[in-house]
Amino acid sequence: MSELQSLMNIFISAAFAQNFVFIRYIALCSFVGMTTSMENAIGMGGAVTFVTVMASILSYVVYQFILVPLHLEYLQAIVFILTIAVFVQLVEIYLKKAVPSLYKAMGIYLPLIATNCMILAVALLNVTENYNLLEATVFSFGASIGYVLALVVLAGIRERLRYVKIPSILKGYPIIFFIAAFIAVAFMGLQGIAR
Amino acid sequence: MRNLINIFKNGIIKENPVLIIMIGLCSVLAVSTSVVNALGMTLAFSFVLIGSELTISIIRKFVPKTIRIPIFIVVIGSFTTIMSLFLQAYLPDLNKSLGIFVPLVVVNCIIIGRVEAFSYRRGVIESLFDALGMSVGYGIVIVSIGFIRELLGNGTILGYQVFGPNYNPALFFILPPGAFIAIGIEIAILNRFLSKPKKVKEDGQDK
Amino acid sequence: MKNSKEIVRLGLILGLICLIAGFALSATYSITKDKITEQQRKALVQAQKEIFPDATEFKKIEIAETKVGSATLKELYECLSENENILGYIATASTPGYGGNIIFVLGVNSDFSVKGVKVTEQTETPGLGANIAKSQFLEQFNGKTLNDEFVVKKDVKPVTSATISSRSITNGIKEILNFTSKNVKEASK
Repeated sequence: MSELQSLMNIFISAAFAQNFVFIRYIALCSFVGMTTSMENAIGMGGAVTFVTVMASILSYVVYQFILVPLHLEYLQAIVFILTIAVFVQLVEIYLKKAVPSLYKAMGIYLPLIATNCMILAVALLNVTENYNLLEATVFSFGASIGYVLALVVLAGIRERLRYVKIPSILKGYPIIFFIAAFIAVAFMGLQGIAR
Repeated sequence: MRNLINIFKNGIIKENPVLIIMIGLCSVLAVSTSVVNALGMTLAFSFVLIGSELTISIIRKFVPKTIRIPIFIVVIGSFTTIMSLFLQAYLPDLNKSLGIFVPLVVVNCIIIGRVEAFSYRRGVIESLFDALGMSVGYGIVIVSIGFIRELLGNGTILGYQVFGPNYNPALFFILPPGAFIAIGIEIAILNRFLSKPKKVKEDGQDK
Repeated sequence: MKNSKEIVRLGLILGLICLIAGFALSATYSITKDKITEQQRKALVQAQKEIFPDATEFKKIEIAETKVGSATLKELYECLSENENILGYIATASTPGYGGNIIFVLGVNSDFSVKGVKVTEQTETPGLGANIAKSQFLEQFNGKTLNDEFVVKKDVKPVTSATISSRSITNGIKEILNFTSKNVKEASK
């Protein structure tokens, strides 16, 4: 398997076959909370993609050049989350000053992202799967695309849901979870593409 | 005393973190493939929640507002790592079953949420009861979903065959879709349960 | 003036908390460190004993982690009897499965046929792919040599409805068996 094929494999696996929302159960809070409108979904998706990829690279560097040489691997969870939090904070400050228009559009999502499990999950998985820097970058990008896909699909459906009659017992979150269940079935069918 | 009981009950019903506030979902759905896993996750989660709420409540007067978030993260992260190390050493099978959701406790929205909203502003005993209530609330949900998924999806409870060897389990429930369906059902039931008193009120009034 | 004083104060508080946390963490780590290493070896040691019950010593062969096809060889051991005869070899490896990596232990006879296989870690679908860890499935590999085919559904009976998991472990076994037979001939010189 050539290097490129292997990278494609990682990407497709992260985005579809092992989709983080529907198969790995990650980032469900934002999945449920940020899909009330397509605007929110895309905004959140874009912000998460950016932070995930950058934070993955940062975490990788911190792990390889600080934690491993000092035999402090057991601190990876806490060090990664601090790295992510600091990074998000810096991005927020920078956006506020340099690109206020983008800050207005994306800014509200940034604090929410710090607790988004996917970013930490991706950083941790890069370690467990022993990816090198390039593989880690591709993996984090794939994971983010899968996340955006999940959000956008659900947001689209939820926007339509407004015009449909739903039994009162299912109104609100139950119907959303049932819908998610069916989308999950569809994604399960995609498993095995990568191998 | 009554105040403390109320705080405790709050975490179980009125502000149940999973079913009402809708946070901490990832671990609930991912780890509820069996009752044993669900119980183990509850213990791990409770350790970190109780420890963090207590610690933050004790030091709250010394934590400046501007840097409270990094301090929360350090405290919660420390408890998470300590819990993780103990699991690896003394409960390795549980550690393997919980997998990546052990370190993910540090970003569990319930813990950060309660620390910020409650224990940063309230006393130590109150924070303890809040943590206990939230833990029980969390535990009830994850174990009940685990119960459903293990029973229907595997035919067992705590590993014991319930339906006999010829039962063909509905594997669906162990898989992701089953998890979503299970929690959807629980929320629906809770909604019905909570909305009933309201309905009575409406009927009682003159329209 | 006040601003920089404030920043220093904030920095000190944060630093102090980090210091306390650091102490707590390193203390916990030193308490649990040995137990953790022991636990990680436990699965391997148990598998070694099950596959080669007659071996008295498992001598590690110095070899770096190598990628073999899609699998990764992690460790290689010589299995020695009481009088230092080589009974066979033990290889620990991982191979990508359906839901993640499958970590397994392969026992190889001195004639390079399969002595036994044990799966120590897997995250396949419970009830389906996870059954590749069961001895009913793994037993069929005993005695296989490199001259045998390792084709799932033809000469390897897969776990029902878990073809992908079955293929993954089968390929992994084949690749590691191949690697072991090629490399130990050189190593034990």
